[in-house]
Amino acid sequence: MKSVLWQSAQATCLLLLVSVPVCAQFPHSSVDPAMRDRGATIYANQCARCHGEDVRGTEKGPDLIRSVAVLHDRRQMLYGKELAPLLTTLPGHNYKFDDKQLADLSQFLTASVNATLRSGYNAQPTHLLDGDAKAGEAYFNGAGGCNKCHSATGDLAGVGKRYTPAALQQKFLFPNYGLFVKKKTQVTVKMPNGKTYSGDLVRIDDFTVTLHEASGENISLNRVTGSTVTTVDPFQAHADLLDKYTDADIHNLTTYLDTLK
Amino acid sequence: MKLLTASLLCLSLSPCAIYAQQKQSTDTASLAKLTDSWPTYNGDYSGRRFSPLTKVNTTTVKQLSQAWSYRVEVTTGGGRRISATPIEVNGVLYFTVPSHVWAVDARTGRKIWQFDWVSKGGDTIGNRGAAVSGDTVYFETEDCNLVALDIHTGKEKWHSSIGNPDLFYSGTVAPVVVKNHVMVGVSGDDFDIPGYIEAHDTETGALQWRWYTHPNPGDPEAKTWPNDEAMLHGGGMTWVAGTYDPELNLYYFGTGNAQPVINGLARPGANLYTATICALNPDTGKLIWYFQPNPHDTHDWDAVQTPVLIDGVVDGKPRKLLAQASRNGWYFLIDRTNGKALTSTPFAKQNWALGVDKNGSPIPNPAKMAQPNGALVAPNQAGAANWYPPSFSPATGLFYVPAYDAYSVYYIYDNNKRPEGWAGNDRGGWMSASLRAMDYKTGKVRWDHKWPSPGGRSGILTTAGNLLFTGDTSTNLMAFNATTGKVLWHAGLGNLITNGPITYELDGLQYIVAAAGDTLYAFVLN
Repeated sequence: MKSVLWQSAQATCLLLLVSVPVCAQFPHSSVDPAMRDRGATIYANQCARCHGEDVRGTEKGPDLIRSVAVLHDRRQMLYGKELAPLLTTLPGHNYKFDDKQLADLSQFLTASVNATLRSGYNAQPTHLLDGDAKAGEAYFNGAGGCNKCHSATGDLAGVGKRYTPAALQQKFLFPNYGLFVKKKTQVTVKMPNGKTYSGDLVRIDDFTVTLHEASGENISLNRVTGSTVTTVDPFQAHADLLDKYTDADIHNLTTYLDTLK
Repeated sequence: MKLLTASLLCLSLSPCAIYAQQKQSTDTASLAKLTDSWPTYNGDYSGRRFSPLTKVNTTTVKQLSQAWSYRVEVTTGGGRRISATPIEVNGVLYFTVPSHVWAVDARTGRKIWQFDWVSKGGDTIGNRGAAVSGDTVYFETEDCNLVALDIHTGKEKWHSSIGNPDLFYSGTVAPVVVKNHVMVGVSGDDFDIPGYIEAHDTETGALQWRWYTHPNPGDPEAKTWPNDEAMLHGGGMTWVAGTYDPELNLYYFGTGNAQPVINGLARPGANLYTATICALNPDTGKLIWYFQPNPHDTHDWDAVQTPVLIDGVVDGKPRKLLAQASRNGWYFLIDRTNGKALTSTPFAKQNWALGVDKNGSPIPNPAKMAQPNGALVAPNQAGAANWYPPSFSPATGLFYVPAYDAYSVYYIYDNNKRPEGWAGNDRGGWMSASLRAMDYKTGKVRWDHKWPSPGGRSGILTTAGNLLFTGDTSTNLMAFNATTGKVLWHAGLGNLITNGPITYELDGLQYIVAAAGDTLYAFVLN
């Protein structure tokens, strides 16, 4: 149900993760990795048999990720204080954890909950190389028209080494998005007096244009009557493909590009 | 002398005295049709956001200039952003950001009071606004309380819990008051929790009824889920204000996405009543009819977008209609007496539906649900529309919507047989943003103003002056000729327009008010 503001922040965060594997926890309940790891050991030894290795329960014990007590502990950052009585009084429970162990276990459970929220920011796509590399190569040189601008032995040589499969797929689909932006939209403004300005587009609306000239200067112009504005997206060919790709094309192309080591 | 001094002192210390001389009713009958004020989130109950005011019109709009501005100075989890629609009653504006409420003089922008709720935390992304009834202001807090405030002083009268924030419920929606019911919804889809809508007593805050957005086990609609457990963890949040028809006594609202959100393999079926338009009896909470714009939602698209009530003529007969431009890229026109769809048609780029079923609901293409190695889907998660309010002008017969053509790739991350939470997500994106005007009967686009850059999140206001006000994707508040789409006026503000503009008239002056980031701006004619 999230709004666009959240979507943008989320997308940016996910793109960051392509190259940076660690990101802040969401929403507010942070986790100390060392405590989480110690808690994971306690959980594996004492709890997993009934509550499952993935904390989602078995026939013997309920799902702890959906436990109201665990969720309250997580949000209030109680470090197991309210869980402690349950761990000694619930049927089949007689654990005498000290405060440090309780806090470690609490941090592991918090991390387990956090990992399910928006799939957890550490989650990655899988099976990205299940496509047909030969079909991907044929698409590259045929229907996709990729070879009109790119070369497997030229600008794309070694591209499979430079990017993870997830980043590679995103890069050819949305090259002008987020951290991948490397080439600005080009803009030319012709004013009524005939004077023409060209450069990188900085900002545009229905009334003004700001551009960055090759000289290094930023120019801001009013879109007055008689002026014309022409923009050229250097990645337009990629955008045009979005209406044409099949998902098989995307999977095959990803698999092929990954072979370009 | 003493008496005079006491009177003057009273006047100077009591801001309410200035406003007490005016008595504008906020009862159910007076909220049915908008006049010169803006007393609910959508202006009136209909959701049309159409004002009959005409002083500002296609001829005079060029004379609009800024009257005042008011900047909020609190930062919440949603940042310094006013995404609430202000409401205007008796010369005072009431608006919110998460856990804070203001009363501001609608003529001058001067603060009258501010209420700060001490929140115990919640997933804060914004607050859509307040409701007013009689001498009480109502709003939801991020940690799930409905709070009632004295309209004159801003002092709390009572508060009532509406959800457990431990379970990831949060409060963001603007309440809607119908008779003696304060209707509230809940937000929060990070976990597999059921959505619901509640009615609270306007005077005491007592819970009157709660209606969950899932069928009762054993109901015929329960067969749209694989089992009761999946259904009872199936989501369907209610995070956008509904609309109301006093004649039919029906309250209309849309529900949010199903959960687990992206991986829907463990919940095959249409998953009622998620992503559904519902009509309830507000006195009993009983469901009267439903229509599902987005069966088996696996893209976080919801169907919460405002159900707009239109009285029109179809096939030569007067009809009571309901229109929604849904986040999934489809426009629906429904008979609001019974929920039967008359029109189902895309209004933006979409590639996920195979067609429509006999009820007019789109049929999802399984290939365009998330895949472990990715599925390219239009629209993206932000949707072809979102919470930004649309508008309908009975003068032009056009339905106006901020429309986005967009692609992203949906991935399944968690292929566990029992996925929980989101279990996947979308990544990346390409987007083209437009302001789109459609024939309300057919959904056909009459005019389309493509913004020169993507982004933006502004709602829409239309008026009998044949104007349409909205924010662009940059920082401009703009006025269009509502019939032709011609740009007539703009004002560059300090930020993106972050709510739906409103209009009201005081002392013969028509005001236009919009929020941009942390600031409200008011405009009047020179």
